[in-house]
Amino acid sequence: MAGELGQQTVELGTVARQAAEESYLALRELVEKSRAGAEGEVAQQRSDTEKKIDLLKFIDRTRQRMLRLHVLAKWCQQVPLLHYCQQLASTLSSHETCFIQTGDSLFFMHEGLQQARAPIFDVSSAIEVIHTGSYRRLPKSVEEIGTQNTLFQDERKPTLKKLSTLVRAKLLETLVPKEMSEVSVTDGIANVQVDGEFKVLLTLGYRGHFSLWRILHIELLVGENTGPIKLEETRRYVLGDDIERRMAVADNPLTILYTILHELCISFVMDTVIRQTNVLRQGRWKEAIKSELVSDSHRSAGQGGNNAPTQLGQDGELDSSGFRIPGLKINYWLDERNSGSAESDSSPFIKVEALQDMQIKCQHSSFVLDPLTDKEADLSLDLSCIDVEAIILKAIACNRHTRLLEIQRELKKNTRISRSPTDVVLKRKEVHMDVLQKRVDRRGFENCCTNEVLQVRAYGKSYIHLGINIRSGGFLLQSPKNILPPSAVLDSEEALNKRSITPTEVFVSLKTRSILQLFAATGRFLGVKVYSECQITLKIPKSILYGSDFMVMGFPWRTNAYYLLMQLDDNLMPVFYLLEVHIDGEDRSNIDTTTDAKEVVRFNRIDIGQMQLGEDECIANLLDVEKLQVLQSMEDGSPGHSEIDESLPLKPSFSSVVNAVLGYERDSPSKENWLSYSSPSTHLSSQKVGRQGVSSRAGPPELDDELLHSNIDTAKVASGVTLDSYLLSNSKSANSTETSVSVPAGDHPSKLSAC
Amino acid sequence: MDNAAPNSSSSAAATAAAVAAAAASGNGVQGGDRPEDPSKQNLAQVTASIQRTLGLLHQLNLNVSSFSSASQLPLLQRLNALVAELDTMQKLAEGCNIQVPMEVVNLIDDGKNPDEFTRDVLNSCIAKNQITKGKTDAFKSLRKHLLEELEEAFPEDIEAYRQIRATSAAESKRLAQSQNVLPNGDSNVKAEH
Repeated sequence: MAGELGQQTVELGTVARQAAEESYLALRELVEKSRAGAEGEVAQQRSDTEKKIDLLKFIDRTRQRMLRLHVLAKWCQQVPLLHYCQQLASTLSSHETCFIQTGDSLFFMHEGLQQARAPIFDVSSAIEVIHTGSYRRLPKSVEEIGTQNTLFQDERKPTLKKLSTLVRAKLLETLVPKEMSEVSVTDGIANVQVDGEFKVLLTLGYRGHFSLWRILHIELLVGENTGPIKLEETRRYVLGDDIERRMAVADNPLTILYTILHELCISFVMDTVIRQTNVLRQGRWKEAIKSELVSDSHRSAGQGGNNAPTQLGQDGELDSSGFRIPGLKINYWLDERNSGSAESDSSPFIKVEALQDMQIKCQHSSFVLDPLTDKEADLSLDLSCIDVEAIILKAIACNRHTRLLEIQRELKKNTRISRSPTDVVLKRKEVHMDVLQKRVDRRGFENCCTNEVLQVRAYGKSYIHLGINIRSGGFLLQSPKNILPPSAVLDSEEALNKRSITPTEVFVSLKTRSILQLFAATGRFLGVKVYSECQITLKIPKSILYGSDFMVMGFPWRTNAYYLLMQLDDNLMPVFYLLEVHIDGEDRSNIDTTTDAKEVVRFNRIDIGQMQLGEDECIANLLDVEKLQVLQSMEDGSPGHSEIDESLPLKPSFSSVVNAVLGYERDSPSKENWLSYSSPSTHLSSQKVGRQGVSSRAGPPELDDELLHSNIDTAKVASGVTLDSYLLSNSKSANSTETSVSVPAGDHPSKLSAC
Repeated sequence: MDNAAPNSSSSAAATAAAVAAAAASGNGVQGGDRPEDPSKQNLAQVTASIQRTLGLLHQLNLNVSSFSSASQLPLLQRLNALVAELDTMQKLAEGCNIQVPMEVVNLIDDGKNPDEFTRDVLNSCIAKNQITKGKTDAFKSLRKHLLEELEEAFPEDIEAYRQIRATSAAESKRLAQSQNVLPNGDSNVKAEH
């Protein structure tokens, strides 16, 4: 009772203080009241009697309080006694405990004495010893002292045989899960294996019960390329013990075994995948991939056709609803949809997760084709050699292939780009790396290392290549420098990546420009000036333009009155127009950049289909000297400032020649739609071009549909040197070659050698 | 009024007071009074202060009940003295840290004697003591009985056991005696059962 009493205490000092405080406050209140009464109205004033009564009340209350306090204080003198009593009480209770323990130990001793009174003799061993003079097995009690108990060699075989039979019998009557691929029994040990996951060695005899299983060895077969995951000894023992225990109480021990080890393997695999992804994310694939954990919210316990979870749910031991293995979602090609806001949903992803049936599945976000099999890509994870990077690379390769295939289809529909089957081709560049072939699976390696490109023909054997960047998913355009300037390629690539134009448009534009560039190069080679946009401004009527890609070339006689407009029509056929430009007198000598846009006064389409070309090897004289001399007299214009060689008086005859070409047509161009000229590409300086020649080898090319293809030779000659150095080299060679420029005379079909 | 509390005490309270006095003086702990002194002193001071307050209150009561114009000044004086005394009490109470069980406070509030609490504690202690003593006696008799029986069955073992026990008992007695030395050199020996 002393223990229960005195548990809650209060300090005497506190009590005393509070009592004093309350009394004081009460007194103050009285004083305040009387003071208030004194200062207030007369009616509020308390009479003397009332004040007296108040005071008496106060005194009485305070006295009561003080009395109680006094009693308390007096009582407190007994506190030491109380403490002593409490000490005694605790001593007594400890004595009690001792007595109880004594009683218990006496009781057990009593039992032990009974056993000691009559020990159990090992009668069977005694008989054996008496009869045979030796003993086969040590008696249990002697064994417990600690000597080993192993079978004799000659006994092993039959015993193991018996054990094997027992194990086989047990296996037959136990339900073996279908996922267990291999079950074999040797020497009494059952080898149970699930391919790619784990291997267990089992036998019978759990704690002496021959119907229960014992685990001898567990081995995991999942792993990375460094080898399978190694289970440490202690962990293996603990796991083995736990599984044995569960198997002993379960109806289907092998099912339990499978479920537990399978889940272990799956969680190992997911851990490895997540870890590898993190390593990749911080290493080689930094900024190129993004990963996040995914918990399957659609899974619920006991659903699905799989038996294992349901049974476990009944057991209550392993509840699949509470045990979620997280999945992993890896996003790649993060630069997709640069819309400013980070939309992770739009970039393609691979999802690796353990589904309801506890099998790991890799899914791709969109349908992708496998370039090697031309069917839907099957991203599967090899559990014995987990390599996330390989999966990512495979997915990227398939995605790239799929995209290029789509673009190829799109381009093939367009007749401007695809006229023959070899115009748009999906090509795979093999990468030869003999060293690595030994270690890595060849098929998988091929998939990730081959560089796939879409090859689109520009003209002849010149191609433009469209590839996709593995890291960013962006398009890469590539073309030989001589057919397209790098800036054009980069611009197109950028536009393509921003999705501002379709691939068809890009390729049409690039093809057009490459052809125009080829013409321009050839033109330069022949002596015409190719103008860039900063050099000249012309107002060209829109009616004759097919698009924004065209080229203007000038003639090298300083007559900046006439220009050759070259463009490609909708079928990518070259179309030529001769433009005559109105000039005032002051601008005549100025062949450099003019700020005023010149108006095109008249134009004529040059129908190259109607032209006849000479077949002979001689250089076709574009300018017949005699004819020029004849025409010279007809010329009305003042001689222009020509710097051409004196041997060829070209200058005065040209305009008349042009007049002849144009057939004295005076069709006034419509003044409505004027377009300022802007040449698309060339960045050549407007250097004076001296006489350039066409070597005799390259004869006048055929001007028909095969122009594009047969111009290879010319193009090669022209493109053998870069455009920039071309002029320099040609100015040196100017003296060595002859000029051959022919001008049509009269109404005869012109022999215009233009490319 | 001051004597109201002692007058109403019962015989139990008287015995309790006597026991308290005996305990206070006849404590086994001879030394070690020093740390108790300040708290005892403090308690005494607080008690004195409370008594003074009570005295003052009594006088104030007389003053007020038989009030005349002449007693105005003494009244005020006593009021002031009361307030001063309250203040003193408060200051003294700060140094007081004796823990008082709630049961005692409740008893006082109910108007009962707080010595009842002390009495209850003592009684329970005595009762426990008796119980344990009984158990001890039971074990002693068991031991005696066992030894007698064992002696009949295994006399040599018992003899050896007794010798071991005797030597160890002598050893422990010597230790105890060396600890229980009185100031004049005599040793405090307890009677052996």
